Amino acid sequence: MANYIINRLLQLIPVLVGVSLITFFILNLAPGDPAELMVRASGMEPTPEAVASMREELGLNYPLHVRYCLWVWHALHGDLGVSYHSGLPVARELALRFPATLQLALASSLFMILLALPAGLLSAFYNRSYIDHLSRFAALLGASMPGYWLGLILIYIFGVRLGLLPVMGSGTIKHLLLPAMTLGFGLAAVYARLLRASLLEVMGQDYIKAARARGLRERRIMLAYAFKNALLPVVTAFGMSLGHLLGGMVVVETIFSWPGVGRLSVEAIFARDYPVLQGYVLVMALVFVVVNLLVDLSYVLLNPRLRIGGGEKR
Amino acid sequence: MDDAILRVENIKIDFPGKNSTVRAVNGVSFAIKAGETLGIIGESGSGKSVTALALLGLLEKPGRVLEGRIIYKGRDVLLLSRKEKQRLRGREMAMVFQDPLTSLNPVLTVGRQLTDVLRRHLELNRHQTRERALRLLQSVGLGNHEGIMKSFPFQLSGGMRQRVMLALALGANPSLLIADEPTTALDVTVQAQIIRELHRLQQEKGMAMLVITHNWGVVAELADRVGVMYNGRLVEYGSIVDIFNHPAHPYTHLILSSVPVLGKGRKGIINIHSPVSRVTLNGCSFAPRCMLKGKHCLKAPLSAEISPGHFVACHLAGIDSAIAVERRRELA
Amino acid sequence: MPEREENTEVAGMNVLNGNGRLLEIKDLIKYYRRGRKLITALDSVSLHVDRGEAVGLVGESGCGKSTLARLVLGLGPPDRGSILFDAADMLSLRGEALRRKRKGIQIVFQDCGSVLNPRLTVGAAITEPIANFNPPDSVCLDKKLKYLFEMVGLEKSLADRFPHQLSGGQRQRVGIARALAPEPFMLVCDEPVSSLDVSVQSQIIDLFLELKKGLKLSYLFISHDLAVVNQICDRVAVMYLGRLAEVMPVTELVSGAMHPYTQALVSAIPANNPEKRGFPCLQLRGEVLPVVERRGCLFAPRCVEAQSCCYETVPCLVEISPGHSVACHNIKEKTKTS
Repeated sequence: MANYIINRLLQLIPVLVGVSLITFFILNLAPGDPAELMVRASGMEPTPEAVASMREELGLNYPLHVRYCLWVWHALHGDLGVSYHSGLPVARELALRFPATLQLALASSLFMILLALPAGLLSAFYNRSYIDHLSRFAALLGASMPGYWLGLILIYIFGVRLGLLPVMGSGTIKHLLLPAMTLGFGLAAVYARLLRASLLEVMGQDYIKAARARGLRERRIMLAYAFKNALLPVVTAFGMSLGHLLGGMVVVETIFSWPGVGRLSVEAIFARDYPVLQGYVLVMALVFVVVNLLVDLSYVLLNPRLRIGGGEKR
Repeated sequence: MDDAILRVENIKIDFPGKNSTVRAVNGVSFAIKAGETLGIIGESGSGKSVTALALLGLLEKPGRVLEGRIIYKGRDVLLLSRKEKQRLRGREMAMVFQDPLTSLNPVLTVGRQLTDVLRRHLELNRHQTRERALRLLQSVGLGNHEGIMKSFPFQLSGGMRQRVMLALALGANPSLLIADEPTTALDVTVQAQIIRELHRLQQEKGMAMLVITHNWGVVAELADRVGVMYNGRLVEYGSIVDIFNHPAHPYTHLILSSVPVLGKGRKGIINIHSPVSRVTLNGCSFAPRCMLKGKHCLKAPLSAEISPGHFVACHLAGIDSAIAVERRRELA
Repeated sequence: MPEREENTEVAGMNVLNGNGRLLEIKDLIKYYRRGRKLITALDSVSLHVDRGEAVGLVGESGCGKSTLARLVLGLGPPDRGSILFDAADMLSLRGEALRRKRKGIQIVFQDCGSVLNPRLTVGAAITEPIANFNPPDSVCLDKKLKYLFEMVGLEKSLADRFPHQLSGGQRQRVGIARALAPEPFMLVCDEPVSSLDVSVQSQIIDLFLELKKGLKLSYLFISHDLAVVNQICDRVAVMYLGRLAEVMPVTELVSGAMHPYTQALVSAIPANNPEKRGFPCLQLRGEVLPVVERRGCLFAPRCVEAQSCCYETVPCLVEISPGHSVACHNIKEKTKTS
C-alpha cells in the first residue's frame, strides 16, 4: 500500500516535467511580445529602446532552453517568477487566489452530492415511474444549460428579485451560495444520470437476484447491496471533475466576480503573462495528479479487493 | 389431504417480445413432498430455470405467468401480494444459484450477508444472530467459521462459496430448497462434496428439495423423483427408478444414452442433427428429432400415466400401442 | 469421411519429419507473477503425444492444464524446458519457419460462439486460416471449404450464415472446421464439449473420434470430465497444482488408477445409476488451495494416505508399468507388497 502511494507520487515527476516543457514551448510560439506589453503596463511609451531594455530585464534574450532551465531551477526553490502584468511574485498570486477556488470547488461538490445522490437513487429505485422521468428530465435540463445562463438566472432570481443573496465577490457563506449552486447544478445533472445508469446495471447482476431470492427488502438491496458497487464508476468520473473544478471555473468566476484562479489564468493569457501561465499550469498539473491519487485511494474503501492483497484464492 | 409441500399445476410462462412471444414453459405440473427431492432435468432452452424463478416470484420482466397455479402449503403463490411473496422468499422457499462467485455481493463480507438474511427473517438480537450465523456456517461444513465471517467472497474458493450460498439459503430454515445447477461451476471433487452436503442437509432438516440440472449424475445422486423437460414441457415424470430403468419417452432415452460413462465404450448413436428452431409446433415439439416419429405426432401428446406414478407425454408410450412395440423393436 | 486431399503445394510445406513422437514436452516450467507472489503454474512437466494418439489432460482449477495448452501452442514462452513439435524446437524457431510449424497444431476452444468473429460469415471464418498461410485461388478455396464442411458434418448452405444464427453444436463444428483448415497434425482441444447439451455433446464426441481415425489426428484433449476423456483419448495425464500426478492408458482408469488423486477423481464422478449413489469410495480432504511453499507432495494435505515423507520430498514420476507412470511415495509400497 505504501509502495503504491510512493509509486504514484513518483509518477508526478515526469508528468510535471512534461507539462511544463510543453507549455513553455507552446507559449513562446504564441504571438505578442511580452516585453512590449510590460512596457505598456507600466505606463510608458513602447519605444524600441524601452522595449529592448525591458527584454533585457526580463531575460527574454536568452535562448529558449536556457530560459527553461532557469525557470525550472527557480521553480524548485519555490520561485515561480514574477508576473509581467502585476509585478507580484507568481507564487503569491496563485496562493492568494487558490483558497477561493478551493472553497468554490468543495462547496460545488457538496451541493452536487446533495442533489445527485438522492436523484440517482430515487430514479433507479422507481425506475420507469414518473419520479424517474421527472428526475431524468431535470438532469437533461441541467446538463444542457450553459453555466453562465444558469448563473445569470440565479442572480436574477435570488439577487435582484428576492434580494436574498449577494451576487458579487466573496467573503461570507452567502457569497458562496450562488456560484456553488450554479456549478453544482450542472454537475449534479451529469452525476445523477451516471449514478442512475450505474445502479441499474448493478441491479441486473446475479447477486442482486440472489439477495431478492432471500427475501431481503428492495430498499435494503438498493442501499446496502447495490449502492456501493454502483459508486465505483461514479467516483472515477468525479475525480476528473474535481480536478477541473480546482483548475478554476472561469465563466462562473467571472460572472460572480469570484477571486479565483481561473480568472487569473485567463487574464494572464490575454496579457501574455508567461510566468503566471507557467506557474498556473504547473500547479494545476500537480493538483490534478494528487486529486486523482486521492480518488484512487478512496477506491480502496469501496472495493475490498484492493484492500486485501487482491487476487482470487482459487 | 395433500401432503405435498409444493404443487405446481399446469404452469404456462410467456416472454412477450417485440415481434413474437416465446412460450418458455408450456403446461408443467409436478408436486414435491416434505423430505423428498425432485430433480428436473433438461437441456438449455427447456424452461427449467424459468420455472424455478417463477416459484419464487422472481420472473424478470417481461416474463409473466400466463396460466396455472403454484400451491405452496395450501396457498396459491401467484395470488399473493408482492410483500407476501417477499416474506415467503428465504423464509419458506430458498434458492441456491449456479455460479457462487457472481451470486455473492463482492463488496460485503460473508458475515454481513449472512446476518442480513437472519435479521430479515428471524426475531433475534445481535448476539443471537451472530451465534446462529456461526453455527450455520459450521453446519454446511465450513470449519473456520469465524474467519469466513470476516472474509469477502473473492477470498474464498469455489466450494467454500457454494457452501456459503447454502448457509444463506438455509438461514431461516426453509421448507423448500431450490438448487439451480448447484454444481456446474465447481471442480469435480468439490461437486461430489457439495452433493453429499445437500443430501445430508436435506436429511437433517427434512425439507423438500427441487434440483434443476442438465447433469444426470446429479439427478442419480439426489433425486427421488425426476421430471424431464423439453422445450417447455414435462415430457416424462416419475420415480427415479422408473426413469433410469424404464425410460419411456424417446427424448429421455436419447439423453440417457448420450451420457458418456466411464468404462463403457461408445454405442452407435444415430447422428441426428438438431435443428435451430424455437417455434412451438402445435404437435409434439420433439417430433423433428424423434426416431419414433409418425403421423400421430402432429397432435400434441398429453401426459399419460403408464404405470403408477410414471407419466409420459408421448403417443407411443402406452404399452398397448402396437406401433410403439413395433418401432421399439426396430430400434433395439 | 472424405478422403484427405493430396494437395502437393500444401504437402510440401507441412511434411512430417521424423516418426513417432509428434509432440515432446520436457521439464516445462512456467511462473506467473501476481503482485508480490510468484505462482508456479507448471512445475517440470514432461509429456509426449505420438502421431495419431489422443492424450487427455485432466485436473481441477489451478492445475496448469490451460497454461500447458497455451505454451504448446506457442502463446507465450516457458521459463524453462523445451517443446519439440514435429522434431523441431519450437522455442528457437522464428519468423517464417515458426509460422510453418504452427500450421501443424491448432486449437479448438470451449465456446466457439464467443471465439468466432461475429462479423464474419462462418465460411469466411473457416477459410481465414487458409488465406493466412497459403492463399490459393478462389476456386480452390471454395473446394476446400466444401471439403471441410463435409468433414465436420455441416451443410454447405450454412457457409453464409453468421455465428449467432447457428446452434451451439453447429458453432462447435465450425470451430473444428476452422482448426482443420490449415491441415494440422494435432489439435489442442480446451474443454470443447463442456458447454454443450448432452445430446449434442455425444455427436461432437463422435466427430472427434471420426476425425482422429480418418485424418490420423493427434489430440491434446483438456477436459474436467473423465468420462469424455475415456471415450476419446488413448492416454490420460492427471495434473495437480502444476505437476503431473499420473499418466496412464485410459483403459486402466476405472480400476487401475494408482495415484490417490486420480482415484479421488474417478470416485467423484456421480453415479449413473440411482442404486450406486452416495460416492462410496470418495476419500478426500478439503479442496484445492494454492500453496505458499512448494515442498513435498502438493497433494499431501488432502491425501488420506499421506505420510511424513510425503510432506518432505517431492515424489518423482516413475513408470510402474508400460505406459503408466505415477508420482507418489506410497506406490512403491503398494507395488512392493502386491
